[in-house]
Parts: sequence; C-alpha cells; structure tokens
Amino acid sequence: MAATASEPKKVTLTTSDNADISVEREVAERSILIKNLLEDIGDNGDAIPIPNVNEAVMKKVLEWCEQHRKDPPASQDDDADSRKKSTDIDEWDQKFMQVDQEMLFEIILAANYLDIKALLDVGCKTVANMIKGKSPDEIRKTFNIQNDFTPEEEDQIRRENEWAEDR
Amino acid sequence: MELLDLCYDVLIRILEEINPADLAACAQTSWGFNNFIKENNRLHKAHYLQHFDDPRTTLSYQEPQWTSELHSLVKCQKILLSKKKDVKRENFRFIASTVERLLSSGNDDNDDSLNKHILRTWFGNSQNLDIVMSRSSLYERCGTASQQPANEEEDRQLSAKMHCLHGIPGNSLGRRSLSTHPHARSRVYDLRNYTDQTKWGPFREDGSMRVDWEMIESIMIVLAYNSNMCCRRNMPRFQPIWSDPFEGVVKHGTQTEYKMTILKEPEIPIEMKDPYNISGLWSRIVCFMDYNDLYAFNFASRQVSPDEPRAPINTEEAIRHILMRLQITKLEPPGPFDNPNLPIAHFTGKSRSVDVSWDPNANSKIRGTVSLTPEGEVRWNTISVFYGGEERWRSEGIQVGGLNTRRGVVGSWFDKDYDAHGPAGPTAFWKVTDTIFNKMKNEEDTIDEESDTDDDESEW
Repeated sequence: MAATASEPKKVTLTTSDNADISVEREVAERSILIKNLLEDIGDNGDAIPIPNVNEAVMKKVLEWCEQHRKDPPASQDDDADSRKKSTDIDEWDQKFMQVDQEMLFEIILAANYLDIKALLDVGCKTVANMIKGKSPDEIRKTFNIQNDFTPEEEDQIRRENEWAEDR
Repeated sequence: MELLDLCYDVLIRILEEINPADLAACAQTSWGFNNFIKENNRLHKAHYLQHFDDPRTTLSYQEPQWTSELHSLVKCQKILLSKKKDVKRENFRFIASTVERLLSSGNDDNDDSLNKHILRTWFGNSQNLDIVMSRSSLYERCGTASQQPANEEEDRQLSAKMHCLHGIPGNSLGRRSLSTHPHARSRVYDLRNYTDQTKWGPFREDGSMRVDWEMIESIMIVLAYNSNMCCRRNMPRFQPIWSDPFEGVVKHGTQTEYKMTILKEPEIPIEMKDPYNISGLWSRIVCFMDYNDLYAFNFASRQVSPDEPRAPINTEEAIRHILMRLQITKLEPPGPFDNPNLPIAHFTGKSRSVDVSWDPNANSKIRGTVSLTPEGEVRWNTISVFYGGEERWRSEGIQVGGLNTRRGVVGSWFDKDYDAHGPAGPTAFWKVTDTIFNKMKNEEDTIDEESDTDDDESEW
C-alpha cells in the first residue's frame, strides 16, 4: 500500500470534460486549491474533480507545475510588494506563454481558480506586456476589441485622456 | 473568450501591471474598457502607490483623489519628458505646483522616497533645470541662452524657490548653477536689501513677510560656492545637505496636526511639544566679506539707480564652520498677528567655531525663536550673545522645505542694531543629530570652559 521513496505518490484529477489525468502529488500541489483539498479529504485514492478546467488547459497548467515543482512555495503574504519587484518573466515561462490568446486567457483563469499565484502572475504580466506602449487602435487589434464609440464619443474620450498623451 | 471576459480580479491584476499612461490607451478602446477603468479608484490607487510615496502618512489625513492625482502626475511627467521647450514653459506653474505637491506628500522615513527618486529623474537634465529652475532675476545678467528669467515677478520667485528646493548638486549640473556666483554675491552683499521692510532677512521688500526666494537662491549659491572652495571638504558634517538634488526637502517622519492644547500639558517634556524639532546639534556655515571690501562695494563704487542691481563681484570671502548646540526652552501661543497654526518657540544654546578656537564671533551663547510666517514658512532668527551678556549678531532665515524636513535654514546674518553700514552676509544651518544634550544647567554658564578645539562635541 504505502508508496516507497522511489515511487512518488500520484493523484488523479478529473477535468471538466471528464478526462482523468494522473499526476505526481508534488506537482499537483503547486495548486493551493488541490493541496488544501488533499489535506482536507485525505488522499484516499479517489479522483479529484476540477470542474472549471478542461483537459487541454489542465495539461498545459500541469506542464508549468512540473517545470516549477521545486520552486519555493508561495507565502501567504506575498502580495503587491513582491510582485512589483520582479517585472521580468523568465525565459522558460516566456516560451510557455507563447500560445494563442484563447489558451492564454484559459491558463490565467485556471491559475486563478486553482490558486497558483506564480502562474497567475506570469500570465497577467504576459497580457500586460501585450498592452504596454500601444495605441488604442493597436490594443483593439491585438485583443479583437470592437470600437463601439461614435466619432463624437471618441473625441470626447480622447480629450478626457489627454493627461497621458506624449507632449 | 475576450480580454474583458476575464473576471474582475484578474483584469485588475493585468491592468496593475501596465504603465499608468497605458490606462488611458485602454480606456479609449471601447465602452466596456472605458467603464472598467474610468473612476476605478482601486486601480488608480494601486498605480499611484506603485510609483509614488503613500501620501496618507502626512498632515491632515484624508483619502487622496487617487484618479485625478495620478492623472496630474503623469501629465507632468509627460511634459517634462517632452523635448519641446515651449510646452514646458507654458506649463511652468503646473510643473512647479506638482513638484511642491510631490515634496509635501512624500515620505523620506526610510531614506528611499519614491517621490524624491522621481523628481531626481525628472530634473536630471539641463533642459528641465533651465526651464524650471533657472528663471529668477539672477539670470537676467548671467547664465546661458536657455536660462531666461520669467516675465512675471511671481514666476521668477517661484523658479527661485524650485531652485532652492532642488539644491546645488556636486556634479556638472550643479556647477552650472554655481557659475552665477558673482551675481549672486552681488545681491547677497548689497546692503540695500537689508531694510526694515525685509526684516534684514530673506523677505520681500513689500513688508508682507513673504519669503524672497530669489535672495535665498543667491545665498545658497554663494554658500555652496564658498563651501566647495574651502579646504573643509573633508568634513562631511559641513557638506551642505543641498549637494544632492531634492535631498532633505521631502517630509521626514509621520506628521500629525499640531494641537495647540498640548502647550497646556505640564507632564509632557517640552521637546515632545516642539513642532520645529529644535533641540540637538546643528552645523552652521557663515560667510563674510572683509569689511573694507563690503564698504567699497556698497558705498564707494559707482552709484546705481535704486532698481538696478550692483555689479557682479568676485571678492573672496571668509567662511566659518560652527557647531551649535540648541535647546528649546519655551513655547508660546501665537499672538493675534502671528500665524495661528503653530506656537512660537524660544531656544538657547552655544555655538562654537571649529576653525579658530579663539574667534569670539563664533564662540558664543546663542538664543532665538522659531515661528511660522503668515504664508506658513518656518522662520528662524538667532542672536549671538557674547561672554558678559553683550548681544552681537542676529540672523534671519527660512527653513527650506518647511516643517519636518532636514534641509535646514538659509538666511542672512547682520548687526544686532541693524546698522545700515553693515556688516551682513549669508549663513545656513542644518541639524546633524537629534541628540538631546543634558539640559544646560544655568543660563549664566560661561563658555570659556571649552578649552579644547577638536571636533568631539561629546566634550561639551
């Protein structure tokens, strides 16, 4: 019954589209949600349902967790302060985030739901970098946003935002 | 799924990562985005606190208008980042008021004020310095082609004030300020500026007791120039705090509104009641011109018309470095004609020359008062009292940066009887340590017990 040291403990996750994914417990516990669940219900070998995340996204998230399995755990109070100090995204994460926008948003929402702070952070920074320094028009194109202003409204709103214009 | 479909917390988190100016671009993409960003207090607050000191620790606590404050700071930054001189000139008053707001809402407690850092970045180039800080009447007669005095007197005063708050850094930008020294010296030693109207101090000649920032600017330049020239550079204690940009003018320490009722609390030590933080050890520099030179400059040279400045003057001055040990002795409620916001503080102390042990002008007892001027500036005056009780010199100065700042006091010294023939000259003092020394036992203590002349203040 008891797992030996050479044979790491595994857990099974059931995704929203009813796929079972088997993953090492240490990797799955990058998610604070899963970690707390396992602690609360005990590891009785039952599959853990993750109703908000589908298989494709879950696999992607677990790929990140695998890569970052040895990272020091996020402390409870690592908040705004520690975030703003590290604006850079490491190289592996940058490559990891080179996915289509739909997937990027899904990963961010999954990280938020699963409570994986570092992944949420990387995801948000990736999106922020897609916004930085762009004109309104470029932002619309990047994110496929419909311009629903009338010309008069657009003019009015441009004036409201003159404070940020280059002089 | 689209960007705006992300949940509120996630979207906020993304928008906290962008730069403040990007918020404006996002707000202009669609109604959805506009509604999310506009008036979003939480988002603007987060951006403000990422880039600027938390203003909520200072006087008269109230929740800041995060959105409008952030917008105005970004606007000022954009103006100063521009290459267009005209844009900066047109917005001179806006820039000046933003600088003053950043200083008064900043916090230097941990010596890493974000506001100070930002101001240093904004004014780290000669164009911005020229357009904001080199527009006093000093630049009518000197300076470069891009250093032009403002047309209106209030703007010239405001520019001089900006220059005083900035200081004179010990780099090439500071040396540009110092190159005006013959003209600054001409103003400082022009005895026509020492009148009843100006109280012989750095005040306007209209008798309003408003600060004459142009005079303080000139005094600062002369003192900085002489301080650089003299051989005391190896004495860090006498290196003026203004040799780093915006050093010592950001508020230091948490401020609370001063309650005048505290004056009636007998059990609170007077140091705790003192809003000016007087008690402690102070460094002081005093410069003076040989009296013959001063007399010749004022009375023997070609007479100039009353509104015309005297000629620039390069005469070498003497400089004295003095340590002052000050102790607050009394706090009085303000009188009917005083600024009602703070009490009037009296202090006594001793001053000692570190250059020449026997100099009776520097080794003396000293007393004085600190009070608020009608416009709220902190005014210091001192009187030196020689052995035997004879009063000799007075000084009038203004604490640059105001209450709770470390920059110190800049002003003039002159004869205690206000002798129209002088002498008079520039002086500055700033606090070195807060250490409360043993209360002076006796007002009548003599000073000749100080036989040692080394720098160890522990001996006295």
